[in-house]
Amino acid sequence: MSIWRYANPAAFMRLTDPLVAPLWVAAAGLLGVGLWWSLALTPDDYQQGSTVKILFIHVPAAMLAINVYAVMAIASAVGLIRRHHVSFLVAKAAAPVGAAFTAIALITGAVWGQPMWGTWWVWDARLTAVLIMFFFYLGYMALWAAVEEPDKAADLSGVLCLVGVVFAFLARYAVNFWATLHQGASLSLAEGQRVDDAFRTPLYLMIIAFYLLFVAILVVRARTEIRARRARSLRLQEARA
Amino acid sequence: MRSPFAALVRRDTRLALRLGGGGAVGIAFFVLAVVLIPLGVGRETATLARIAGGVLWVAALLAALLSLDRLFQADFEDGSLDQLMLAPMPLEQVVLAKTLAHWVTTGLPMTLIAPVLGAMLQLPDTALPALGLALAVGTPALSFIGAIGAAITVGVRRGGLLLSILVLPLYIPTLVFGARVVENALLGLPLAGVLGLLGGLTLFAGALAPFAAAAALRINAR
Amino acid sequence: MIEYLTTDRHALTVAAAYGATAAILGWLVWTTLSANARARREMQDAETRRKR
Repeated sequence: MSIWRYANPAAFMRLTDPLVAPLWVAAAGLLGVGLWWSLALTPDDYQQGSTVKILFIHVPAAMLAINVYAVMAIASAVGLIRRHHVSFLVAKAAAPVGAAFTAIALITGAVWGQPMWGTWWVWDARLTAVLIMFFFYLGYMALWAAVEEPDKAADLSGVLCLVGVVFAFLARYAVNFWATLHQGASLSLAEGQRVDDAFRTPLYLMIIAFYLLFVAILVVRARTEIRARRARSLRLQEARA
Repeated sequence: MRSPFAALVRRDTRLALRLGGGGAVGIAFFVLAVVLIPLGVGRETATLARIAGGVLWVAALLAALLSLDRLFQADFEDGSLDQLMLAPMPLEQVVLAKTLAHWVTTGLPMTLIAPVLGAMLQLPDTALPALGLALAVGTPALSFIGAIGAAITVGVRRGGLLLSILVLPLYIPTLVFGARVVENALLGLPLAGVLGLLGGLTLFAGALAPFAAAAALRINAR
Repeated sequence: MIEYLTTDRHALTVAAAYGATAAILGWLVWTTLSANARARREMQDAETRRKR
């Protein structure tokens, strides 16, 4: 039975306590401004019409889909190396958020595809890579749920996440490689296409807003995990007494 | 060869070939899965030849996947794994030996029978050696990567499904490169580059798997 | 905005994308906050029981 060191989790709770409210306020504020700017103040695209405005959620969501996994990988590595349990809980807390952003990237990409290419799904390199990322998230969350002992679940998920991040890179490369032979439609947006100046500022605003939202949700979820862990260990102590 | 490594490889191979659920059934699944394709997709030659590479690789993935739970599970359950962990051979070497045995009883037979199946899927004769080569180079990666997943899920009750969703995304690079070898052969494009990628992947997986799987086994044995 | 929704031919597409996003994020935030509230409650209960 592992020793539950109250020191680290308590420090985390103390550190994050004053951050929660400001994070939510900042996220909500920036999201509001970003949304209004994106929807009301930007022009329509010559070819795509107003659907180009989907860019303002699709791109930030896709960026976060990948970055959240990176956060999980770093947290898992810290957890495995320093045996810092809170790190594992941060990774666990981040996963559903990353999965949600991945789903948003997929759905907005698909919805955008309909008027553009007349099809709900396009095996474009980026969409395919994001789809694969989605399954990495689901597998990680499934593993946490499947292993009964929390310490084992934490360590095993950590190992899985690190192995996963390596293969996520490989998969991304492989999918790009795969997409080059099979000439299909490719979402020619912000990447290749020059992002018009009018779009640049609201896009950056939305990206930052999404990041803030991620951090706000992550902090609350991590605090939830820590509390749940403590409640569980207290219950176990009770049961033994 | 009387080394403990060779002894472990021999032991696992013999066990896999002896048990009803071992190597033979895995190959039967592979063949059956491939046979289903024309029945589902139609028997038009051009179509079958076009998809043959991908189909064979997907079938190989699934067959490898289904045979993974005998890699560590049985030994975990009856205590043999604990014994192996106490032995002087490092756990990483144990993993390597068991994975090698796994490949001998799954990947190797699949590689040998693949050209026959490829011909049945209307691949031209010129592409068949490339198919065999691709599987020979790439199936060890399936065993290595699968070993990581098997080690992680070894303690989970009825973890077969969980194992599948963990391992299949990890198999994607192998699938993409492996199928591409066959496709290049079909299109008359050079194979060396893609085979190199595939080989690099296998070597990388072979270097990573013993450490990752051993770490997972140690966690599960606590 | 009403004018946009009724005249623009892509309005449904854009609304669907933004709507789906709002729904997913809203659900995420909702479960985050409610799970947090519940965990806080349970921890307080466990702590008061322990002190007794």
